[in-house]
Amino acid sequence: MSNNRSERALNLRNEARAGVFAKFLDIMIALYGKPDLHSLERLIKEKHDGAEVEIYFTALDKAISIYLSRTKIIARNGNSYKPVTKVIFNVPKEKLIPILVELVHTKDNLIGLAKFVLRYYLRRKVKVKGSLFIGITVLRLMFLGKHPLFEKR
Amino acid sequence: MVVKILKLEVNEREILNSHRIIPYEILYEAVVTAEELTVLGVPENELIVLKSFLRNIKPALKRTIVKAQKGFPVIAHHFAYPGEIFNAFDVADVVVETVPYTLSALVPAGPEKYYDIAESFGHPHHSCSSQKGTIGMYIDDLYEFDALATPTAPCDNTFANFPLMQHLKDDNVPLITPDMPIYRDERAYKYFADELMTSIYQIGEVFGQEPNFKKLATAMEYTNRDLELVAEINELKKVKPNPIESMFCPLLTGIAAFAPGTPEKTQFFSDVLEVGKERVKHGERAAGGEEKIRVMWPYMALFFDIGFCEWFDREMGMTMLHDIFTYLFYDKIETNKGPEKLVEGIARQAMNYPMVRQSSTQMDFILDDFVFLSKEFEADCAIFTVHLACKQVVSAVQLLREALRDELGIPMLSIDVDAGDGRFTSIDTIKNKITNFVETLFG
Repeated sequence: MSNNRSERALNLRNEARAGVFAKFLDIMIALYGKPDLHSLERLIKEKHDGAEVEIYFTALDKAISIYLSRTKIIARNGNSYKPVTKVIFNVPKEKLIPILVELVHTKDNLIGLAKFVLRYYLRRKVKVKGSLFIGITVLRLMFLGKHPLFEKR
Repeated sequence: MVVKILKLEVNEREILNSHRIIPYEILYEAVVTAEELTVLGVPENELIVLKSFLRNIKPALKRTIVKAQKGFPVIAHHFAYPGEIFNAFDVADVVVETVPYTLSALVPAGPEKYYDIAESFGHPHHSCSSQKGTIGMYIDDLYEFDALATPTAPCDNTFANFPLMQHLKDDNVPLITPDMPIYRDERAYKYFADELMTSIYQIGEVFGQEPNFKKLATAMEYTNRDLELVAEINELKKVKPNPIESMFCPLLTGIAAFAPGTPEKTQFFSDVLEVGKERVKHGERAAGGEEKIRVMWPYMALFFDIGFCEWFDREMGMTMLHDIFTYLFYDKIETNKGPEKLVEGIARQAMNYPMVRQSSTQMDFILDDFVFLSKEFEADCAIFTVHLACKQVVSAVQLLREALRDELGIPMLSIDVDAGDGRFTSIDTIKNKITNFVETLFG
């Protein structure tokens, strides 16, 4: 670790920022993901149960890990030990929150998915390394727009 | 160090870039990020209390960071040392216990590496994680303290950890320790008022500053107003269903420590009160649905998983009426009768501050207080989180269980936890225990 206090402070602040993203996703999926959790078992096939997916934020140089199970999702800060897929958010720091918020407000249906692919995936703002299926599955778990409280907005 | 700071003009650049309280910067980043995410991402009428907390705690943290960056002396203090007092000085005050726990609430496993650093240093695993986290940060050179302040209360962790921090680095950091007596009577209040006044002048002496009692009186006026607001919020909690979300309990603890005697803290309570009144009008709970079980929580809320409270409210239909920090057993003080009276009032409040009142005296207080509160707020049961480090209250667990059963006929569940470290008892284990308790007793 650098001895320079400014760099060290920045590094730790970025780590905290990524950690809050993990906490936010954890809470949001637990609170508002319920209507979609029945599809969790369908989405996460037996062979992917327990898989780790790393979400890496290029602007922060920090990652969070999502642990997939057929009953719940756990988001933690830090790199994954052995990720099956790496989802990379390749956008500037100030764009991270708007993208995460937009993902959360997206409806988990074909139109929502198509919007995401056109806006972010094809423009290489969000890249997926490894299994595309699992990458998309994780992103779909963040699509909470079908929840009645989000539909009211 | 202090002399260097006071001569700000000499090496201002060095000090401005020195990042002397990095954990506050980390926490500020976490708070700002969480606020943006909740405001933009969470539906408007959801998590209202959390949104208000984040909005109001932000300026308090920023003020401390800016003060430290400007070169004001940094004083680390126990939450039991009345935070309002630091308004009387030009200092950046760091609350030792609240930083790791707030970090654990906002960032998964946030302070765990600092707990581990302290333990690697030889700090006992069974000591208080709230202080252990800050000790780890201090060992890791994230803090530079110019002084430390704590009353000789509320627990043995405090007696051990503050002197440890004093001698941890090469330079011997001044430690200011007003002696808090065990008893709670007029003689004891007078004694502690003298001790507290001496400590105020000691702080002034260490930093070469005169205490500004006018500023202190202004801070206490905010605290007086807070007392009125909290009393009103508590009245609302008596309504069935309780309109205040469980998350208010840990959030009150956080804002009380970070923003004592400030308009932000008053604003937070005003926001909660307004929302609560509105819900009472419509007979609503925060989480909607039915209030199935009203729970008294006689010890600390779980800080390491802020989502727990929402699970508690939404999935279990339970309501956390009070934890140890949310009912204030003291009155407003007179702020216009001069420094002596002012400090006397602060001393009286400090001796009856939540946890200090129940932990640093005989166990009668915790028994009486929670039997009284359970009766007053019509609790259906109690859940006691037996924090690993708080050995002084562990002795009261069985006594409280018996008191609640004998006097009110309500059951109490006790769960061994570390309130700021999810590795000790995982959140899933805690949820399972609560679920089993509820199924066994309430069907």
